[in-house]
Amino acid sequence: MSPIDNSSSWTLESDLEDLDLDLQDYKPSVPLKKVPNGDIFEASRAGDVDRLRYLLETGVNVNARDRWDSVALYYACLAGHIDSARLLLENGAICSEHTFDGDRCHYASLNLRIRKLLKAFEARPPPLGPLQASLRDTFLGCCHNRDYLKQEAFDANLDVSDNPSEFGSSNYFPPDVMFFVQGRPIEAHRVILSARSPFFKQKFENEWKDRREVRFSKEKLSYPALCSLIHFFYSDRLEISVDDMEDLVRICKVSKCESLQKIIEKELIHQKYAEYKTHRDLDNSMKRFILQGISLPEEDRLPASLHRILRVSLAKSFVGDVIDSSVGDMRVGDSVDSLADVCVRVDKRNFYCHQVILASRSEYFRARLSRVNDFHEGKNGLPGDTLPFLEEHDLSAEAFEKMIEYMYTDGLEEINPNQAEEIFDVASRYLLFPLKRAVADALLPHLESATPAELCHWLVLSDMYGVLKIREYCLDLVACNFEAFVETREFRAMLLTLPPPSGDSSLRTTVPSAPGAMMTTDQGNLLDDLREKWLEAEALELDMRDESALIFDKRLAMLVEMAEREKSESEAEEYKDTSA
Amino acid sequence: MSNQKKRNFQIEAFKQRVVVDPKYADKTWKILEHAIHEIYNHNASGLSFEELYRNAYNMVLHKYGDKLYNGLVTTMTFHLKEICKSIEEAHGGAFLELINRKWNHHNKALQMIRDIVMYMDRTYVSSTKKTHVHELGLHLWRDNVVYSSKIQTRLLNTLLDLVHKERTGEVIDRLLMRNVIKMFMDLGESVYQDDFEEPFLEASAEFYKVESQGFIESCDCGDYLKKAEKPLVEEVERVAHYLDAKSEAKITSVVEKEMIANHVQRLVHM
Repeated sequence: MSPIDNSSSWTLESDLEDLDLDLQDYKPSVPLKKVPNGDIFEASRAGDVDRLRYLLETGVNVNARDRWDSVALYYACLAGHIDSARLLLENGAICSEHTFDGDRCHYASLNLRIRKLLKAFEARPPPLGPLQASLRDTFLGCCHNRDYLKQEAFDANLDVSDNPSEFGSSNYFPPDVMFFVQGRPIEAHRVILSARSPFFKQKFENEWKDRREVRFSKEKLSYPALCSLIHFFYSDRLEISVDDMEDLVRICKVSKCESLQKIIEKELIHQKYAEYKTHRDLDNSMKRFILQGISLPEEDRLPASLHRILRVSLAKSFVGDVIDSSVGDMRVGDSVDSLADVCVRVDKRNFYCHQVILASRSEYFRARLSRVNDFHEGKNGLPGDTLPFLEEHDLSAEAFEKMIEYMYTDGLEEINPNQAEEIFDVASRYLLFPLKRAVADALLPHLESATPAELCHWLVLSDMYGVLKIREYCLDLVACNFEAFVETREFRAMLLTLPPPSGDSSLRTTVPSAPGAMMTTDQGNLLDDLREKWLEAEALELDMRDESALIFDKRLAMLVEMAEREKSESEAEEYKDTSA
Repeated sequence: MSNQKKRNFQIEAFKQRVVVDPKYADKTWKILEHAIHEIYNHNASGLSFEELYRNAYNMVLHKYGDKLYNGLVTTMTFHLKEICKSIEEAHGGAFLELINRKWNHHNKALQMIRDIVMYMDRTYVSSTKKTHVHELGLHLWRDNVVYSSKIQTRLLNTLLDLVHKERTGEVIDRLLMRNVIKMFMDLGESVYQDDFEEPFLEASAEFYKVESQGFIESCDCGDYLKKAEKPLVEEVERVAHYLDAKSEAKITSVVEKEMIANHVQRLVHM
């Protein structure tokens, strides 16, 4: 919560551009090494971007320290791996000067290029959460709002500036209201504004109910201030030029955003009396003020606001006996108090939801909602004044409810381990990948007391749904307690269901593969990975490692044989039972 | 009891029951294959997006991503070959028109197909480092239609012919030109450059060589320069109407070379 001066931010983008120009000079002279089983520190030191991405996806803490008290970013800087460093920074690695970790990274940087990269990221706010980021993309995906982005060109989100074309098309979801302020348009979605401001909620329920366009004629209303505020509504991050802050206070007052108003007023007073020694020579128009949602009381942040909306909608979701009557009941007019604009029917229950949230969070729903007219679904022949209606099969209402809870709030209040499996399925199916991680986090404590059989079950499941954190956890446990698992019949039965080890010789020997040799680390074979883990835990050093590996392979082959024998025995027995 | 438990033990998720059916993959693929046919035959309104997506998702989940991807390639190739045949049979002016219409249709179908197999695109395709479905569709169109032996030269000649007609004063359908040339650009910069731009520049050089020869025989220096300016303006306008903006510098330099640079000696001594 400090004013950030714009002058350094302006050079930020150009600095990064410079960085890319001389890429050739900094290409490593030898290809990078791959560390398929390394931790975040090893991967950073080796510059193995693939491994690093995998680890970050599994949810490792990007700012964790190792036993030498070093962070991963330090190793990447020290070794001069710019891509790895950038990946770490983009995932929120701290690099601010005058912090212990930050200063160490700055001093350790191998070359100027890395230093510049650190400098460029220093002024950046930390990355947004998945909910905030996806709504922000939706806001900026509206073509008129992109002007705002251009104006904020220094805005530190590289992904946006790097790839404007893809950005525009893929995150587009049509707005349902358009404001004109000082002649300039801002596009928005009713439900977001209503969730964040009582003023907008009241307006949308009454005067603006049927209007798609609202023109503000007041000269005093400032476009940049309102734009910043609406951007804040979507992203929980306020970015505003210091000059516009007084206008913003006025808008906050009207919109009844009290907690935000208080913070800005306080900051204004602070600015008036405090001497910003370093910034004194800058004129105000260059200064920017950035506020993170986390500075607000919890109930005023985005997730809590949307949670309230969701609760209202869910209260209306009931078990409908007859499809036609239950859908017909809900006229567009009735939905106004929750602003729901789509009805999703799951397992005989109707859920009243908001298109913009579903579409922003899930690519599936974005496609589904925009394709309504191309496919059969558009031709249900429902009368025009009812809500759009989607039906989803093959999942339970409970799982769907959990999923939309996550979609609206980025969190799960509680999760029953019995439900976890179905939610993994739902998360994969609806392309809501961060949800898998949230469930994995909730599930992990339960796994501590799980039996080997259950762990085998979770291992297979996590492999199937790509829940890396659980997969890794189970593999570690199996590798470290291999003898105990071998004893269980379930483990042997599992071996039969798995694809055989790949037999890829590059994975099977201690001879280091040629640096840079491509390995398929993703979509890994479960048994290959288990073998690697086991070797790490049990194998002898160096040359002897191959012998250990051989022992493991023989052991595995024996176990598979045994499992097959057991299977045929039990089948024979079953046959006897049934025929008897 | 323990015996009972042992026998029933199977690592079975609620999703895995389908795998028990050995024909599962074939059955599901049949449904999806049928859907792709319907989409290409303008019949998508009878299909359920939700059901198709779910089927494609389950196939990938149960590790039939290979089958789905390869099937997709085969089916799309089949349809593009059909399209190619129908384009080959078109006569005269209908040819370009038909290419444009089929291209638009293919694009729309491709988008729908991509949405149906979105899960595969996001997981299987990324992890096996295959071509993403959208790009795949473009490549297949390029290889099966644009590069088809009976179409490639005919298409190029038709386009160059139209440009020639416009240069000699005829009115052509610029919108159609623009759409077809946009197709080249959508297929990738290299396709546009190698398969259209380069021959276009060659043809232009040829045209202006003849043109300038005629002028220089008949005019004095001042008139010639005036006449030489006209094609420059025209070509810039042409680029704005239906070519890639990057072509502007290239075509103007061709015109300048043919109209001025090659005759500079003669003009100075005129």
